[in-house]
Amino acid sequence: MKHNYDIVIIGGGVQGLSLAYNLAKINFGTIAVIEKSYIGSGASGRNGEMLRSAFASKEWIQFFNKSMQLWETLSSELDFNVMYTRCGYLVLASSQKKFELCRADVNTQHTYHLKTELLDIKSVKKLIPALSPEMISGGVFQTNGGFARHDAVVWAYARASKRFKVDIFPYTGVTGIRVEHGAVKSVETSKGQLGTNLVINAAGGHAGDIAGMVGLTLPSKTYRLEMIVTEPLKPFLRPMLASLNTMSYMHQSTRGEFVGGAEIKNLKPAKSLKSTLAATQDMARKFIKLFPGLGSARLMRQWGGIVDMTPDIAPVLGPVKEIKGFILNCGWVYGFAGAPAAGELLAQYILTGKMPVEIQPFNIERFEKGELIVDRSLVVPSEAENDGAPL
Amino acid sequence: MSKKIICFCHDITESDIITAIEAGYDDIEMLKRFTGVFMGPCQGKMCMQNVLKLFAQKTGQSIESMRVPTLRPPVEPIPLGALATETVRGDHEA
Amino acid sequence: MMDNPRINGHPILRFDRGKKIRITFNGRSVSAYERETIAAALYVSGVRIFSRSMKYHRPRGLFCLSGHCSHCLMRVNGKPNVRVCRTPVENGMIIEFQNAWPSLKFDIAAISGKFNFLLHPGFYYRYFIKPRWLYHIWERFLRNAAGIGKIEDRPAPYAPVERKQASPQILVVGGGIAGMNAAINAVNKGADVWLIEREHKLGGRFRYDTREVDVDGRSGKKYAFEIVDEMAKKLVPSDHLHILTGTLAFGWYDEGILAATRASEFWEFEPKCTIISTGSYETPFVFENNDLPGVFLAGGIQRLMHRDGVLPGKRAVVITGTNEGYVIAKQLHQAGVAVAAVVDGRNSQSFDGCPEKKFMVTENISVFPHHRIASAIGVKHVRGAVIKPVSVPGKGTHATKIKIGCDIICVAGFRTPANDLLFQRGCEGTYILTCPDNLMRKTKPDKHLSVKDSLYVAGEANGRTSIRKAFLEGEIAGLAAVNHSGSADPATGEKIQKK
Repeated sequence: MKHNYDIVIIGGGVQGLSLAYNLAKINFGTIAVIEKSYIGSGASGRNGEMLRSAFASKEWIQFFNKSMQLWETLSSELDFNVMYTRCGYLVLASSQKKFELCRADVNTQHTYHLKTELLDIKSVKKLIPALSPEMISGGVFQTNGGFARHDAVVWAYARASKRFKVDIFPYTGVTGIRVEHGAVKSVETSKGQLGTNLVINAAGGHAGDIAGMVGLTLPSKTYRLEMIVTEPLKPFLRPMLASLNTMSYMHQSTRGEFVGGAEIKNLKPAKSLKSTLAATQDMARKFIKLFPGLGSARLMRQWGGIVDMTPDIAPVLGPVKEIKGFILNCGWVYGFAGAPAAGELLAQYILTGKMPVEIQPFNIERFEKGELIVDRSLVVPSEAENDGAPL
Repeated sequence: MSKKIICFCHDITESDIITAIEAGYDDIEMLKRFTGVFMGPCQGKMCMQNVLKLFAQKTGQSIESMRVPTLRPPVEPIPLGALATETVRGDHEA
Repeated sequence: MMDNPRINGHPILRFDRGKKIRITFNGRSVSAYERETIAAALYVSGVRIFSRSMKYHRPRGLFCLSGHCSHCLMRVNGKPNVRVCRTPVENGMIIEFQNAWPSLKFDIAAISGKFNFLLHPGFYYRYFIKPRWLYHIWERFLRNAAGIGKIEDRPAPYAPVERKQASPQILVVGGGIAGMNAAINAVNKGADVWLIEREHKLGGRFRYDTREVDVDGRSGKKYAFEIVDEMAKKLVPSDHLHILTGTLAFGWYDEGILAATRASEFWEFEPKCTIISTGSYETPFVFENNDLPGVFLAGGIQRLMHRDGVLPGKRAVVITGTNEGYVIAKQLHQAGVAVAAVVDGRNSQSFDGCPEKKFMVTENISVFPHHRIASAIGVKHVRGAVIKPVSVPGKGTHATKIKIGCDIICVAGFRTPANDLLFQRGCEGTYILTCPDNLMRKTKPDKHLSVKDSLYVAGEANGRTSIRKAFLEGEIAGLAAVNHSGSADPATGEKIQKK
């Protein structure tokens, strides 16, 4: 551990490591990544691996489209196969109301040149024959959507960063951040003090605690999201699938396991990683409603992960006016998909001081100004009620 | 030499584990994710003890110092149909 | 292949086989007895390869017979990945193999075993990076080769399961020796007890064991299964004792609820006190070709012989590191299996001191102390075993290998507590080596067997592997739980105060 670093990134997940890599690549200076457990132990190692840019809002589309382009070449960029699989991504509508929203979304997506198409009932049935016909009203299909192996992405970024001499410190907790005259001076850790003027808060579900160390209260709360995986089955689901009406998301891994997550209505903030009975029962019901054949598929393992969720589910990126040298890279719920772009774009901002247009909307000031970003094609419940479509 | 299978579910051999540890996956959580041990239908019942014994031996850790990896529900694979209840605990009961 | 693998004329056990029925396996009609498992019926009909492993398509046969190992996954009535070792036959049942073509015996994909350099973990992380399309092709190939069973294609209409709830004063999870004794003692002290057991009968693994034990030092030697029967008879359901068999407790959830599944019921337990007496898992031994059909875990072979009444083979080699190996060797011999050798990793003093020594000597069973197994010989089934002396550090490795002809290799005596539920609840634990070959994962209960809060552990779930100790621990945990939770003394009607 050096005594001083040009930048200290708090959080060794996919966001922190992507940023470290992108900064190191442009010779930013000395970089340290501090991680309290093993790298990728947080949401980075627990997420659903869902990759798309077929969203409803300009802000989400533009940002994630940039990320999707980077996903295409990430393996060769990092010289490590992240197992990016371009299997397509279907956003499923199970009611006429949701289908009309999908129609509008496709029009928006086309204005940004996304390769998406609106599928009718017949086309969805053909795409995913195992889906229950009662749950199909149509959907949005993105050809270049897919998934990547989340652990591989973490390892890939970590290895590439180390090649560029980034220092990564796992099993190191941050115990404090020293601020003097409104500017960051050092980071205290369980293994020593690091002098620095620049700190990135990429601590995922713990971002709120890190912000608290500099006296900041983030506009986000920590929520637990849960997932399950079944025993391996022969291929029956090729594309990624997000279900608008059931607020669930799923795919079938290369090994044949059905992996999916869903959230109960009235999700409350929580920091525990333990699975809940409510979510288990809820997910079982939802997945069987979508795929009746899954009734005899066995739940093999389940887990929870915590995310730092803002009122509009969009991330918080950029500086805070109160503290010089404290930059936020948190509030992520779709952080896995966004990591390649966020790393590159934030690195550009940090080097040049100019905020790239794709991440400009995700500034922290939007909350005071009441300029929340609305995107209704997400499948994670926000604090606002969902539109109450019955299951 | 014929294969010595340490993980039946994913056909992982003893030498696969040794190779992975030597390649730098010397943290049990990373070894698990890299090789796939503990993550098959047996969920570690058949392999955990043998993998951990080997892991301790190869990394030089003492047996007593090894952390028990996280154990989660379900204890055995359960059909989703057996979990799909009419109402969900804690939710507005319909 | 044996002409009649059903055991007739066992010196100790009688098998009540019930009515004959018919099932189909891959289109072939197979005779079976009602109430026996699919695995037993198929084994009797000559099936030895029950599945092919996921990656290398290695042949796999019956192994643990407890639903833990995934060697016997088959498609049953259209449902994938069914553990046939735990599933009773029904008349007209349709059973099919999975993940092999054209058959389990001759699976073309087994050739992938020759290419393990392409398929070992992590291979794809370093390769298939450029050109990108190469990975897309590889991924499609891997994907189509992966998975075990096929998703059910004609599922029954969705029928939600019923949620049921109970808040027992004392919940005993696991109805083996320790659990039954905990329940007996707790009920005697006036407590309200719920006893849940995953099998359809109480008794745990000693229901299928013919060793003779004086369980409490007073009752004289009885067969283990008789002890189980006597204890089960004492547990009569009443207002104070609820017994749920066929009930698997599978998870402790964040709401503080223990979830269990039973037929079409979903049970949510919020007990005041819980005793975990869920037994143990057997641990396999690692040696070359250790997954060949014909290699069994001791508990598995006991179930096949004593529950199903089926002879596993003709000639067995027993691998062990504890006295269990000798107990199993005796039981194999009694069932009619010739025991070629007991290979004991410990030195000869351990054999000298073991109660079964006289039996081994009388029956002329070869014992190889300070030896271990090097490999199983065979391509699709065990044909023999190669054993060698345990190497002693500093004494060189001029080990003389010995080949022993056999068709069964039985691994005995390596167990670890089935204490998952305790760890799910956040209990602290540690690993210990009980012998050089046996790693055990244990919690740290106090002298009253309390692990934390109102959580107790007893029997093999606490690491004990003798019936007498399990019996004693059941009593301790049962009484401690009663004291903790408070109940009325049946003699005086007074509340027993928590100490």
